[in-house]
Amino acid sequence: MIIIVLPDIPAEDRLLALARQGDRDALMRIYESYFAPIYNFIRLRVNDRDQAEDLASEVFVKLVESLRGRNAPQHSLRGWLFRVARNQLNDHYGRTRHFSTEALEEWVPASTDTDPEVQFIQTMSVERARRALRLLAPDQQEVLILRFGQSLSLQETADIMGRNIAAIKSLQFRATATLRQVLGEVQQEYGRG
Amino acid sequence: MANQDFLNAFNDSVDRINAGQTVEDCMRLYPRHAAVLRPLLETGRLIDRLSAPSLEVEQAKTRGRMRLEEALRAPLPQKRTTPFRPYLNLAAAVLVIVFVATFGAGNAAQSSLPGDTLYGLKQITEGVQLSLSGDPALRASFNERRQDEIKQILAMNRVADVAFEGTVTVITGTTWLVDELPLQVAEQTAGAAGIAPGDVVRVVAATTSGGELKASEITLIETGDQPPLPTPSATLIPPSSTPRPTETATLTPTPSPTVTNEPDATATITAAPTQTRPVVAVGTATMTAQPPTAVPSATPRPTRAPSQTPLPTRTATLIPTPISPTVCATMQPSNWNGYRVQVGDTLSGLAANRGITLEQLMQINCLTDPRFIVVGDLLILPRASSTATHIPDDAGTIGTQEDNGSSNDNSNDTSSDNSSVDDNGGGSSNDNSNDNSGVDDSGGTDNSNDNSGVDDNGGHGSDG
Repeated sequence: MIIIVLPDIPAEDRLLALARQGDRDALMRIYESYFAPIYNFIRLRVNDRDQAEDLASEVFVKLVESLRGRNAPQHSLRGWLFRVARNQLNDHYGRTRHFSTEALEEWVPASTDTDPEVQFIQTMSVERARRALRLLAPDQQEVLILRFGQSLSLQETADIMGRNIAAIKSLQFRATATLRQVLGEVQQEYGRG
Repeated sequence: MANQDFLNAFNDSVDRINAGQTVEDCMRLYPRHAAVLRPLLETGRLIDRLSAPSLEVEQAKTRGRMRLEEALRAPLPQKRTTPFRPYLNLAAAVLVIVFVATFGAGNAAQSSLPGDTLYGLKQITEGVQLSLSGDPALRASFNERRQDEIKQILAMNRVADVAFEGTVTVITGTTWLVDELPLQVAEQTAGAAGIAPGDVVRVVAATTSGGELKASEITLIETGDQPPLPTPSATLIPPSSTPRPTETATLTPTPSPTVTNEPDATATITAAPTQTRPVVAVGTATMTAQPPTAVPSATPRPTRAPSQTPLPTRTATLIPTPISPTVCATMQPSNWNGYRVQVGDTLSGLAANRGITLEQLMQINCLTDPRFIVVGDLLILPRASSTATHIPDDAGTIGTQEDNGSSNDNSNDTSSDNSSVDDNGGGSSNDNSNDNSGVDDSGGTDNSNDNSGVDDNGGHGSDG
């Protein structure tokens, strides 16, 4: 079974409208729905788990603040959240400057396979991909995470990244091709090591 | 290298894979590009596997929730005055100038204390804000402000007339404690007789140059032995808890009862059963601590599914603690029948298609989150008027027959942009091959095709 998370725009807008009126339930519902995507988006680009957690929860604190103010999002909540997350990331990089691509910490996917051999292979391959992803330019990482990782539409991705559709179309191709290439290199590196 | 045609093919393939189709489906659609397309799509699909371990996400979510609740508790920012608009005509401009002058002074008055020239204006503006919003939280916040002011005045040994509300906590002779304020109550003070600790009162008093607060009139708002409402002045909290007890109550973001003794105030309490903060539990345990399940009281409980209030927000299932969302039991109205969720379906789309509201659909099907549908799930929907291809009520098997039916449904029912999803599905790739490619544990044979070159089955559950 595939669990499909489609942007059900009417439902999302309704939830957002309730949240704007101060409905706490609606706000918490938004949080429960969107925390994981936002966290994953950030976590893939930030090495430190605590930092990722801070940045992700800050996105929702910002939402609370904006709902109380005049610049509350009116629609496309998901895009708004990702945009804020992206800004947070940019600020974060601006502050820390250096961005380590090393540290292959315990990024072990939940595996249903108990065979240690299989687990090892799975872990290696996921780590490899993660590491390869980190080697790409930031906008390439972003487009890959949004389009493939979060299954966002071309238009949504373009809105979040502030580019036009044509630019995203070509960026997503270049990003994928580069990742493919880097993956090969990382694989060789692993093979030698 | 990258011509437009290829870029479009690649983009379309990404969309299809995101909608649940396989790499193979895309290969069939774009045989010309297959050689380049396949490795790229397989690479892209790797990203999908990189979501953080669900335990980690859950932990982060729990901590983030606390931060969010903290942010919700933060006081609301001050309301801004209406900006001046220069293009208004003269008559309106005069009015606006008066308005701005009033509110401008109102802002200056905000920092004034009882006895100051501007203090009356402050109370008037507050009264306007209060009557405009009718918000009990705002009211509580004003009362809290009032008490703070009184403390300031007492500290400054200034003489002023004051009024505030609070709960009588201690009575020893002529010295009372109302909330945290020491109050001198002479025996002949109007309304003082019969007041007992625990009562909520409105006090008219005067401060003296000696730093005392002398009551001139006391009005009983609510007796202490009543089932206590979560009053804005949070006197239900043990006295040792915080120096400024009113703080907790001003936070309640949802409608909560006012201090005034209107009997209908109780009706609004049950509408907000989510306030399960332990601090308030002393007074409000009977109203908040219970899970909103089968209490057959006169007041409507939110999560009762069969009630006629269809708002999904009342279900409160997202609150982590003790509320059990399992009260709902699916029921099937007479002219409704079963429907299997297909790729591209959305609940609101289905609801609109069948002429019912999203709330009705969710209520009948016991759904709590309108955005999560699982492909293959059985929903109960009103019988479609035009098509006869729907799954019969007792549909319990997944088979090719259904797949045929579903491709028909796509063209008929869903006008969503994913309606093209199954167009080419055709003979060889049935839904099962789609399913297996997304989730790893079933390890179907199709996976070997999809993931060649990548780790097969490399899975964590990509369940988000």
